[in-house]
Amino acid sequence: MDKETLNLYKKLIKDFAEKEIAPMLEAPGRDGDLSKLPSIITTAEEIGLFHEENGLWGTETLKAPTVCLDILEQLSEVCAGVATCIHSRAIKNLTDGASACLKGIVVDTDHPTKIALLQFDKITIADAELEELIPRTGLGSPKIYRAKITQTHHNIEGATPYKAYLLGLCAIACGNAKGAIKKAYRYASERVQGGTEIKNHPAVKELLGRASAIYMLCRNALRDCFSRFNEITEEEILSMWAMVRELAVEAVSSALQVFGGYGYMEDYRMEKRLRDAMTLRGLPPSPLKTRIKIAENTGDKPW
Amino acid sequence: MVSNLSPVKARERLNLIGRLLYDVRPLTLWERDTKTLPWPFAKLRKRYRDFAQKVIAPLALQGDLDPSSIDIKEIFVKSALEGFQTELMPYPIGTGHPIALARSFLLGPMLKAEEFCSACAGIGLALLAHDLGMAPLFISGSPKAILGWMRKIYKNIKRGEPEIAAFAITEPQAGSDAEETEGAEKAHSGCRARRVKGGWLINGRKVFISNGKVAKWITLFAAVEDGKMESWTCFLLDKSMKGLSTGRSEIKMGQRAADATELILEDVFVPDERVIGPVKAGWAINRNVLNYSRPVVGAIALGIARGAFERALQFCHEARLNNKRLIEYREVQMELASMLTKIQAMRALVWHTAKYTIPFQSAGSIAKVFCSDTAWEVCNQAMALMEDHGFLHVHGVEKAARDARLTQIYEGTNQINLLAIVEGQLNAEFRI
Repeated sequence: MDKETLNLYKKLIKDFAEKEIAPMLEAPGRDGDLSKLPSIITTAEEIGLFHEENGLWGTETLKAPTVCLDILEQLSEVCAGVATCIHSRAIKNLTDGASACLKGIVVDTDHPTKIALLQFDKITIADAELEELIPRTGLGSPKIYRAKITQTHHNIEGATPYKAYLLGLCAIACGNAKGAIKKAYRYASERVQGGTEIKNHPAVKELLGRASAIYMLCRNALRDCFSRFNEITEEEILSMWAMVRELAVEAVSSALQVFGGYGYMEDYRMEKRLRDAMTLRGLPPSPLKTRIKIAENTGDKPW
Repeated sequence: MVSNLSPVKARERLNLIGRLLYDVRPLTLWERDTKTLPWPFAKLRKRYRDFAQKVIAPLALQGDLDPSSIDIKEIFVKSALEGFQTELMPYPIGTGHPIALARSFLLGPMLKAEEFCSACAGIGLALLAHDLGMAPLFISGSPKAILGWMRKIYKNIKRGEPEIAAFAITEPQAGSDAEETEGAEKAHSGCRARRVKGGWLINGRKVFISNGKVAKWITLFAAVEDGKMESWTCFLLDKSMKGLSTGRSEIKMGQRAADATELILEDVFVPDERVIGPVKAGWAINRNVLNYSRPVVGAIALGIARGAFERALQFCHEARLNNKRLIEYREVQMELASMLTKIQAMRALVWHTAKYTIPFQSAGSIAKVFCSDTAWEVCNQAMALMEDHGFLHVHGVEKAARDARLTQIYEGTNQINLLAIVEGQLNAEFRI
């Protein structure tokens, strides 16, 4: 993708996020007006986000994989839930139309008909009984199911779906944190306490600085992973999986703290970001299990 | 089969004195800690726990999903009939155990906070915020407030009247400013009292008031005449007063069973007899109430963390992975041990803070900051340990995490509390 096309694409996504997704969150409700979600997904399809070649996780897009990071970050800056819906829908282009299933958990916009069990080097298409996981902390937009496999069909070789799925969710966690931090900076410039904008208070500077540092660390690490998408190892992906989601919770929590009591109230949509971050972190395998697996995989020859 | 090297087996090889010095009793930390409590606190702790398990816990999840579906006043009355809502004063004014109050004014409320909030922090907050609302009456030191108003209100509560109290300091433009010196010096109080014949006319708004919706009595702080925060005066209002109304109840991330409601004051006439403490002494009363309430927030955080741990532990006993219970995995045991360590550290600090005869600023803030931060850590550990079960409402752990997050914000954000620690120890410790 040349630079001009890339910039146009980014603008398209940004406009989509601001004009289609943001209004959903302006309505009252724990996760906004979820009745708008089907039309958001339809519009996402119309602008080509699920296109087999040039959409998210499309064959052409994967030739410049950092575009996928940019798309997901842009979307999740506004709403991690909708970004997760779009991500899980786009992944189906890589899994023969089946919904991605990692460690028994399926995330999708609708009730799946087939699921794709993800492993690093292959995916297995299967049927499953699904139990919807509600009520839950956050990510109100997608449906999240626990899958009990009833029958397996065929395998598809290759690591792309696994990499795309995990790194994509990490990108969403990161983008969600970015949105929280941007909002916190704006609020800190407007809110006055002690006769001055709170951005001038050392404590607020510390919170914003901490959140920013975490975001930049995670974003840069992810950017590196996305840019080496084809060569990246399982341990590198698991490292992102183990750390980015947990750090993202910390970053969002620091950003929320800037708001004081207002950050805890539904209206300001900061607590929603924290709930979304906590739910993303909860998708298995857990950070603890992942760290243990990294050590086991690495054996006695790290780096 | 128990190994010969296990403490229980190894101990058997010691002589009598050696065995007396080696404690391997299979007791929970709750049981052990309760045994260390001086009389009558051990008995109180058990009573609080029983009440929490029988009355509060069954309503916890429902109250979180739909706060309007539970009746806080009904729970308050049940708690009051146990004597738990009139404990700031001893008999005959209240139901506080006189020896307990003499030994430690704060330990009783802290034990209550831990037990109630391990069952449900929302319901616990609603019950404890009543004590916060009553605290200015006691802390003002005013005989009229204590022997007059407190006695009257407590008498009604003991009879089973749901006369809940609320503490009102936060304003839309003064959140942190209402809680620390530097900010308050530059702040303007939006809530103002103007002198009229026989009393005061109060105008303004207060926000995020716990129990604002259900309370009958409100201890409210307003600046008098054209003064700033230093002119703050404490007034005792009640909901029957003309011009006093409630506005919006916020929808919170957690502790949802307790309402956080706006109070709107439009020319509310408050007679002189309702001024609590001297005029313009409100700032001192406010700051000192926080000295008593912040350690209790530490105990609330401790209770939330303990509740999360207990539920995660139960989950680990029930859930299986590869035909083995989760609890049998060493990695899971280590994580649970880490959580337990933090909970014990919180309890140690909270109980240590209770030993100070008169609570002081930095002690309260230290307990609040440490416990709230640690509780957030513990709850997140519990959630992460349970993976996809961790974010499900039914297990109560994600609710505990959402509840814990508020303890880092109310009674002064932790950042404000750090400033309070510096101020409190400015000369003695920091020597600035």
